[in-house]
Amino acid sequence: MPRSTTSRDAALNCLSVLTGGLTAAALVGTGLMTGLAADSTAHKADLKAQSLAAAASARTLAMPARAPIPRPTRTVTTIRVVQAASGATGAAAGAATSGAGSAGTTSRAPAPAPAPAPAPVPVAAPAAPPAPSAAS
Amino acid sequence: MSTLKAAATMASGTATWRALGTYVHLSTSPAAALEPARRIATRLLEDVDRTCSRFRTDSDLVRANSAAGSWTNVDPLLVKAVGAAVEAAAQTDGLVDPTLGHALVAVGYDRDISLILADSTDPGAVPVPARAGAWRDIQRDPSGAIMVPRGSALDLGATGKAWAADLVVSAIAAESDCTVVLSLGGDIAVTGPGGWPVAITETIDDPAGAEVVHLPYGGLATSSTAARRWTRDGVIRHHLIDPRTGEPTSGRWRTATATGDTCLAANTASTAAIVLGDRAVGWLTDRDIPARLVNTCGRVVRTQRWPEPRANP
Repeated sequence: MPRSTTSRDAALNCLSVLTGGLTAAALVGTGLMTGLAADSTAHKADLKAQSLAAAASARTLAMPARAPIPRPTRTVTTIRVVQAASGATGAAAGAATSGAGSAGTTSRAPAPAPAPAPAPVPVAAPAAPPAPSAAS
Repeated sequence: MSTLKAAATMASGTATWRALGTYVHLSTSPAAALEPARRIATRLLEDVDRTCSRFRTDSDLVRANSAAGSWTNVDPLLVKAVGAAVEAAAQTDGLVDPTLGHALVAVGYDRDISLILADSTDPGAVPVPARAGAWRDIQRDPSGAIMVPRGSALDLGATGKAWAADLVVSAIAAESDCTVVLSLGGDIAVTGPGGWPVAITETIDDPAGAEVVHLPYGGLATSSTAARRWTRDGVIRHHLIDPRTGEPTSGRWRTATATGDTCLAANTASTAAIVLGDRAVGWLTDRDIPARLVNTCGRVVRTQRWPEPRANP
């Protein structure tokens, strides 16, 4: 049975209204969800920042109070003199310190070359009771 | 040879006792200097034990380790001891590493050596290698504070005795012009005219076959895997740890003796030699360090400036 023109127009109009309504609802829903997600993210960021701040504060409290390290008020130069003679003449070390008036910096003399490791001398009959070098 | 006879011209005195978990052998020439020297040594070694021990719950080192990652106020003496350990690590590029506290506990060295059962039934633990370069992160304030790197624990066993030997001998020399020698568990420091003879063996329990040499000045130290040994979970363990693996060393040398301008330098070299294994002789030769090495078969190898032994007359 053929449909009337009026009926077909009414059906098409309903379809358009329905489609438009659904589209509008989808747009509104998406907007709402995006807004909620943004709010949630901002809230979490706030919580994280608060947590980090609290942790940093706790670390600061946990550290023992330390006396301030005194800063040099004048240039100090330390010279260490090492005299090492070969054989059994022994080694002597001394230090001399001098100060100058300039403020705020510390200079250090070039580090002296370390004394050579002594060469042991073989002994058949030690003159004194030997000191033991053995692991224990 | 006149210098070798110097010590013989005056009678010497010797005292022995135990400290820092090992033997102490102190000699002076003349003998009259012995008692004041012994008093100085006893006091200083007590101070070192109180501040630097890993086995005393009241020590400054234990407190600093338990607070790793934050600053701890400690005795300036511990700051100096840690400074010596860091210096040794720097000179050996970390082969002698002061951050092996956790590694030593993992292999069972968690109490004084006299309290460790020779054959423990405790299970083995996973080895704990040192974090590479962690020793560079140790912070020190000479006025009396240190910060152990987070996740690390310090152990000064590798350098502590040698540093203490230097400390004691220097303190005695400051009070007297006698010749003095101190052996602290085999780590020897000597000062004063004439030097002192030294008898070298692998372990103190086995003095037979000692090689006797004359040490003119400075220090001499012997490191060995033949001592401070125990068995855990059926595996033989010892106290010399390779920082790269966290395991006791297993290289070709079981004992190394070296000299240095200080006892600390000597001990740094002898310990590094054990850890280096096959590369030890080249490393020592490059640095012109006289050394005597014993391999795992008992064969003795000497570097260039270490003399061949002289036969007994």
